[in-house]
Amino acid sequence: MEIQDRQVNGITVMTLKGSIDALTAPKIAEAIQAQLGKGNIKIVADMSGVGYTSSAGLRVILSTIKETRSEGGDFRLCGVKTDVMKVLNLSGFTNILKLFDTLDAALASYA
Amino acid sequence: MEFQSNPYLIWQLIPGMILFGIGLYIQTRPVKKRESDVFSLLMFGGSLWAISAAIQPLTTDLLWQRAWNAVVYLGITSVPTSWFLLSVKLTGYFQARIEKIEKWLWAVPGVLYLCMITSGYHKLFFTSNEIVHVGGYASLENVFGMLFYVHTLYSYLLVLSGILILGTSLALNFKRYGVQAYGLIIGVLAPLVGNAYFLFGSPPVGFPDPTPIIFTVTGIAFVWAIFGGHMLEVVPLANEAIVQRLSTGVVILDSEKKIRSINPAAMKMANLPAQTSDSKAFSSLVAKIPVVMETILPVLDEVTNESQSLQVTIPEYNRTLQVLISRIEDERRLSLGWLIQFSDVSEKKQAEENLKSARRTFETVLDTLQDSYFEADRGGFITYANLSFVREVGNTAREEVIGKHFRHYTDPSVVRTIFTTFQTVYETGEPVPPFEFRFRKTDRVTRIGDAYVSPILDGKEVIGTRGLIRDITDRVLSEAALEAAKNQAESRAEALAAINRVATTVNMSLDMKDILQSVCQEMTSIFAIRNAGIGLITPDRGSLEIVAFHSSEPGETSALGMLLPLEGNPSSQEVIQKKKTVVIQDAQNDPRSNSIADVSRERGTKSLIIVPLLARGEVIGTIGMPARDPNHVFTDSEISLAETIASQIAAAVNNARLYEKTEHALDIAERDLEIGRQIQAGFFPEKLPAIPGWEIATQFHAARQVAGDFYDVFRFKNSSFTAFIIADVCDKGVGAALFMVLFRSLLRAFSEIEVNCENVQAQLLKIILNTNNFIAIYHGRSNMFATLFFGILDPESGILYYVNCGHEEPVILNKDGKIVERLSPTGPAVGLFPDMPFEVKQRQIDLGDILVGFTDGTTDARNTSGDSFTEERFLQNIAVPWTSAFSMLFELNVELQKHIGAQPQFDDITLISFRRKLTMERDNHAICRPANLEILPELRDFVESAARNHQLSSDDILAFKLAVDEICTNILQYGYSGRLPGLLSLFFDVDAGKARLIIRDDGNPFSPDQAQLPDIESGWEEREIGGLGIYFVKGMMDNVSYSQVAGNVNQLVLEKGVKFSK
Repeated sequence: MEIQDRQVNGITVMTLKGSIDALTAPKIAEAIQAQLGKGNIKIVADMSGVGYTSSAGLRVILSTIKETRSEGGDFRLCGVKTDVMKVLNLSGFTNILKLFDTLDAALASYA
Repeated sequence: MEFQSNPYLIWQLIPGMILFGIGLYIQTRPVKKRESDVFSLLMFGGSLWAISAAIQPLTTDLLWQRAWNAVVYLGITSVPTSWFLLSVKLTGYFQARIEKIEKWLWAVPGVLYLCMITSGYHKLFFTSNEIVHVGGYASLENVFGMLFYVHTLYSYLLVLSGILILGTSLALNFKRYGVQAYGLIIGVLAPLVGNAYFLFGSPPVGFPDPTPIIFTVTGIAFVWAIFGGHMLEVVPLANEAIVQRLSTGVVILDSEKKIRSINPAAMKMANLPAQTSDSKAFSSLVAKIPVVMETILPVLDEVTNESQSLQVTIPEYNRTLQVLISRIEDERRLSLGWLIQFSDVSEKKQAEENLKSARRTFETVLDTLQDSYFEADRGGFITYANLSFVREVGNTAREEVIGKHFRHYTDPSVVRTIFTTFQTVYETGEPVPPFEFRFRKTDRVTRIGDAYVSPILDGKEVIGTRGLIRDITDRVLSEAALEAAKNQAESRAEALAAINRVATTVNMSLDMKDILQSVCQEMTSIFAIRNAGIGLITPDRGSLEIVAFHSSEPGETSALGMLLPLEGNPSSQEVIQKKKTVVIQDAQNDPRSNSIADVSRERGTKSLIIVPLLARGEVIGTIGMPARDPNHVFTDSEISLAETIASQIAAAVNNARLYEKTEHALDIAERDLEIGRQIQAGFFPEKLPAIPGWEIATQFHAARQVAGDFYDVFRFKNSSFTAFIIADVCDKGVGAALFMVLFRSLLRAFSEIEVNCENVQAQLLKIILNTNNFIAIYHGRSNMFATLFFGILDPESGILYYVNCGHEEPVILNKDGKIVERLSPTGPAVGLFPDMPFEVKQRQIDLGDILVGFTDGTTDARNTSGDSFTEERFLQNIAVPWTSAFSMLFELNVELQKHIGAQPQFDDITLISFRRKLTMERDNHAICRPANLEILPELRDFVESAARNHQLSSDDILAFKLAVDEICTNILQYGYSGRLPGLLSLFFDVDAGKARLIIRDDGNPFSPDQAQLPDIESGWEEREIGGLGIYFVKGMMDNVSYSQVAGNVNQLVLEKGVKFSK
């Protein structure tokens, strides 16, 4: 699992690559916690490098949404791939998440 | 005893001693033993005669005198025989015949002598021999009896015969004997004189017999003659010996043309017995083989001082004689006779005959050849041609061809080549490499041949050329027929070339429109179409933009740049929606093509094909191609080829778009690799055939650089026979990938044949040979080849027929995991040279056996330290009992990946495996791992690849992947809390449209029923963080059942009805 982060106009872009499961989810959670610790609550996760997620990934997403939104920020996704999208659909997460095709669109959504 | 004196004592003793001396002397000389012995015998006989005659009258005693008388007679009886034999041996007259009866000649005097000494009893030789006293002198008086006269007569006969023989020889060969002749005359005359004296003279009483004295004269004369003239000495002896032993027959004719001498070799050639005497030989020679003398005699007079040579064949004796006649002349050039030398050349003649017969056989063989054979002289004129050649040039008789110039039969286009080729052969004396030759037939039809020309050598000199011409016209024609029959393969090859050009264009230009334009152009040349147009779906998905168009009709309006709305264009809509090719047979009337009905009518087109451009499962555009011929019916092979090309175009478009999108200059090599990979990936079978009782599993991991591995599994038409291919095309890169596609396409195309139990071996061989020849002949210049294992499995009998073309030896494991056989190569790699020898072998695959094929990328896989995985390790890893072929490959791959680690994969890893199930059991793919969270990705991989192996749809694959992940996460996170980690195993199988996953663990019991399910409809504020996993599992699976087995093992069975990918 590769996790990179950068700041674009006050928005934290986290680029994820790999599969998300019980093994890798804690690392992502840790990385997000580090951002939240710095006060970065507007986050976009670039999911174009993620081919798979289990419910472990969804748990991280849900907890992150709860934390960011409670502080006025958000956790939004872009470039979600088919299999991940299927899982999001299956779990009803598409109803609670803001998804964007491209990073630009996701960044623009914060404006 | 009373002594008395002998007045002639001295006169008798002296010659006696002389004779004895001569006899001894002769023996010390280096002379011919045969003659010197008989000469010594004569001398000793005479000596004995003379000396004992001298001694006899020394006493008056009767017994003394009788005893010495007996000794005297020993000499007397031996001398005539010795004399006669000497004469024969010296002259050589009657020699052979006399020598034969020599011992009998000696028997006569022997018998007579016996009669003489026993005469006292029978009185036959001497009626009495008593002492008579004449004048006080006691001499023994022999009164002669009948046998004495017999003896005397016989002796005279011999002596006179000897004189006659010697005399004749002397008279005839006076010159030859030279100075000896005088001595010989004296020697011969002396006994005559003695005889005359004995007959006509009246010797006084007591006067001794003069004969021994006379022989003394003979002896001395002969010694002088013979040794003075060296008659018996070594040089003439050697000369004679040479002539006698010569293998050349020597005959000497005198001036009367009578044979004077003939040596044994000549006799043998004349088929006369070796002992035949001269004169007899002559008559026999003439009588028996008149042809010899008849041929020779007339020639004799024509012989001048030059020798004359001629050849005589004696059919009766099957002999051929080479005759050399030379005239013998004296100093005054007067003819003395002729020397005739015969050499038996029968063997040489026979050898020549044999050579001729061998040549005839050779020519017979040449006539049976299908290839044309010719021989030509240095001038280029044909000296020999076999029947094939004669036929080839349109003639019927060999005579019409022989003598003609080679040019007559050479097509004008290659006359110069032929001329220089022949010239090269003359100059170098070496054969020339095969070249293409074109015959010109009498009817001016040209036929094509492969010609091999080599020199005809006489010693080191080139005296002409010979050549073999293989008519390849038929081959070319049959190849054309083959091409026609296999135009699918052929057009695929062309298509590949097109793809190659496309790929090259992609490399050279990133302008997508250029690429597509060139593809359209290719399409019009590959297919019998009027034009080809590529339309890409516009971003609003409302229309097709024609981005490339090419027409084979000059002057046709280009559709380039046109925007075709999808609305009102049902055919394109259908293509895009169904992601399938649409073929319209009547574009003028079919409602689906109403938007172009007018254009179609105007252009007279009817048949139309629209192919989707599919990139990663999405239609990005279409290719439309109207047929040139209105009645053209697009064949399945044309459609599939068009689809193949379309997929390549789509990939290219995708790449180009990717390029534009990212605005990164993709590394050209990377793009190259990507194209190669796509080509390669596109040609792996999408779906493995299901064979009852068998399980097939494959693994393919592309190298970082594109390589040329491929595998294929397919069924022969109307048959359960299943082909099983694993191959490795040499080299790497796009070229290798293209050739991989070519190999695969050829194998598929040539496999479009009926296969059954009877013909499977022949058919398999045909497939391999056709593929080999196609590559070697049409792509020989590329020097591309592939190692290939091609097996044909008869699933019912379990017999595997296979050809292993230089490929890594596949392994057969039995159900106990023991390696029972390696299928070693039965032929060379495919594509090296035409008509290589391949052999089909067969092997029974028993129940539970697994056949594993692999490529060298497997055993050569490197780790970061550069160490290979090795074949040992490969074999070690697979040599355990397996319940499924898939599990085996999966586990092997796990090991391989562990080994490779972070090292970029250098070569493709390709594995294919067939397992004959023990019973009609379900496939039972299984893995077992220590229970810790680290194994999660591996468990997902296992289920994903097993599901993929069974061609499950992507939704179903994801369902099982998620299910195994969620369940195992639960087990691994909570199942072992408070206890030691144990083992977790997975079993996956698919049967009758139902997939089943069994998860076993020895952790704490946990049933998913205990879990609380989340409310997925609720908003984010209400959502609980747990419970989703089990919700997924239950939601996606048709059936989830928990049980405990074998005491404390938890078993969760997940089942789901599945759909299969297309």
